[in-house]
Amino acid sequence: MTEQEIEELMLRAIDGDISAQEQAELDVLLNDELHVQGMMDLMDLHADLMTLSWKGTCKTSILKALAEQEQRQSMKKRVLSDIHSGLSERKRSEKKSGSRSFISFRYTMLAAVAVVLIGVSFFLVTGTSESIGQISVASDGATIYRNNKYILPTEKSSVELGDIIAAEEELSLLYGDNTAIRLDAQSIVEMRGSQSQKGLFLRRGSLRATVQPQEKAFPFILHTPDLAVQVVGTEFTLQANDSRSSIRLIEGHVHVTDKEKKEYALTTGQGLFVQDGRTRWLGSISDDDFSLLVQGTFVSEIDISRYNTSEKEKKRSIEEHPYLQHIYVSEGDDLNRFVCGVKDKPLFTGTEDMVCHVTFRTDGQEKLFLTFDKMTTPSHVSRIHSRKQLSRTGNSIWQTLSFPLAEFSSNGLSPQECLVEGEYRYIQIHAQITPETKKQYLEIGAIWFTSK
Amino acid sequence: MERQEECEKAIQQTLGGHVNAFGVIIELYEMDVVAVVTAMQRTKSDIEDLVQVVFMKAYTHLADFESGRRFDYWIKAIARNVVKDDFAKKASYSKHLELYKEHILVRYSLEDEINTSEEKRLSALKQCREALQESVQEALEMKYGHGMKIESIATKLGRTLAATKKMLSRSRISLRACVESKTGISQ
Repeated sequence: MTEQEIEELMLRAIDGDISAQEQAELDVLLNDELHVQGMMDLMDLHADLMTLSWKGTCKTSILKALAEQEQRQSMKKRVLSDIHSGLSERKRSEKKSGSRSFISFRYTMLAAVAVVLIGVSFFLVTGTSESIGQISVASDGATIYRNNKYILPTEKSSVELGDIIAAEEELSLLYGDNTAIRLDAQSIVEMRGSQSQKGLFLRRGSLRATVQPQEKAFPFILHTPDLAVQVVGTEFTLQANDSRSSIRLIEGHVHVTDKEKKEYALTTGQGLFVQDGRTRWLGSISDDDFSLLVQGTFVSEIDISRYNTSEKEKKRSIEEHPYLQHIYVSEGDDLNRFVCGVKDKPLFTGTEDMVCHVTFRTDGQEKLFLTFDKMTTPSHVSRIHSRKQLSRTGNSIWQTLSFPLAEFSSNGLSPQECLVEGEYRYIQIHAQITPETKKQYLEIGAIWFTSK
Repeated sequence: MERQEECEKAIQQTLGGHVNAFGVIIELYEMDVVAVVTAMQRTKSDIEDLVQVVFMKAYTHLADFESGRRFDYWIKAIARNVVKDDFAKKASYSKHLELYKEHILVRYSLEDEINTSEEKRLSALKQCREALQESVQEALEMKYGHGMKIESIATKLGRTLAATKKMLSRSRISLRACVESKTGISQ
């Protein structure tokens, strides 16, 4: 084999274009130090050629990953502070109950003695502790707060009544009857109920429950700060965050009660969404849309960036979308989850010539403010507020507001910062109404972009 | 503004809580990191993944960077450690990759010398590549810049597969010789 043929063979090996027989030949050649050096040189050249041809593409993905990391860190802090605040609340309520009258104290003591006696006899008969299930932890991503102590659980650690579990990573709770609760990362639950009736309080985060059939008299009761869910056997997802709670049923049916004691019977595919104490019936909603809605990053699947689509078509496609129309708002409501955009595609690339149009229908409120934010990702919002007040011109009419995007720079940001930099993937619209009556109606018809 | 100066400014802004300022650092040093990470990585997505790991580590330890020192050396040292860790994770290699791994590890142990030799090599290679025929440069760009398969390159150039393979291997062999003559170091 000539020197050139050897080098070509090596290059084929580097390119992954080599037969088994040639690979064997190469392996023999590589017993010679000289050929080893030649091979290493060619591999260095290969790496250098890749480097020189590299087109900087990593910035966006790294910044996105960093933003997510930062979010996780702040969530971690919040989870710990939540545990502490929950404990303080509990201590306060314990203190409060400590100031009850002596008579009630006496009854309480009697009751406590009875409970202890029952507990001791139960323990003696069954020989078991208060374990109600097991926790499975993929990593060291969970903390259990039990009897004033923090415990770092390992795989298959037992879970007891009264435990507060803070999941930093996804984890599962498995009850003795195979009822499974999958807690998402950054969630906190308190184990409630009794040995005969399961109970759980989701203080923050989200979970997916697969509940085995329970006795009708002792349904599994799951609470969030806003909802109580009674389950006798079904599968569903449940979320609770700051001022929101939501549930979506995957299969079966559940009975839900909100803070106003209003009752709802949910069946497969249906959902409820509670924000600031107000419950919204979602009807049937897909799992994906529900997750986006709950996260506050609902993204329309409609491609409204297609300039070659006729305006009529664009309007129709949005009108047909279940979540981009018929938005009811009441005084002070901020529709900050109304986001339209296109997954993984730029909505448009900003230029100073671009004008954003919104068509909507109202029922004649006195003042309507619309605010636009441009977003490069659902979580990365450049707050560029352009507030527009709409004067009333009549009831139930279609009106179009056109916003030259250059106006977005009016809040101290240069046109470069808000228009030229990057691609706009989402537009978030805040609509705030100051009505005379409590309930008002706003229907978003279409959003589209044209050049000036 | 000098690269180091621009970097120091971005570091201060990042440490001050402006995550997006880190984007400037990525732009300034992405190529340096890629130059280290391409060792043993054969696909664009693998390289991207490791580049991301390097910058994430740099971000986490940014407060440890001593102002006034060369940032490119610092971040390349992180990149080398990431590559070494990646070697450890990948259990089995073919013989030539195993040998190359050892070659890289030996090279990485001579940290002070490699920073300058890397720069020299890349700059010489750039000159040598620019001296190639336009069609050959185009073929190399398709292969390394776009990760195209040789079959697709051949179709695009209107050549046979064999002729394209030959052209690519000849060009690389001549590039290797050219770099060696320019740097006096073996490529």
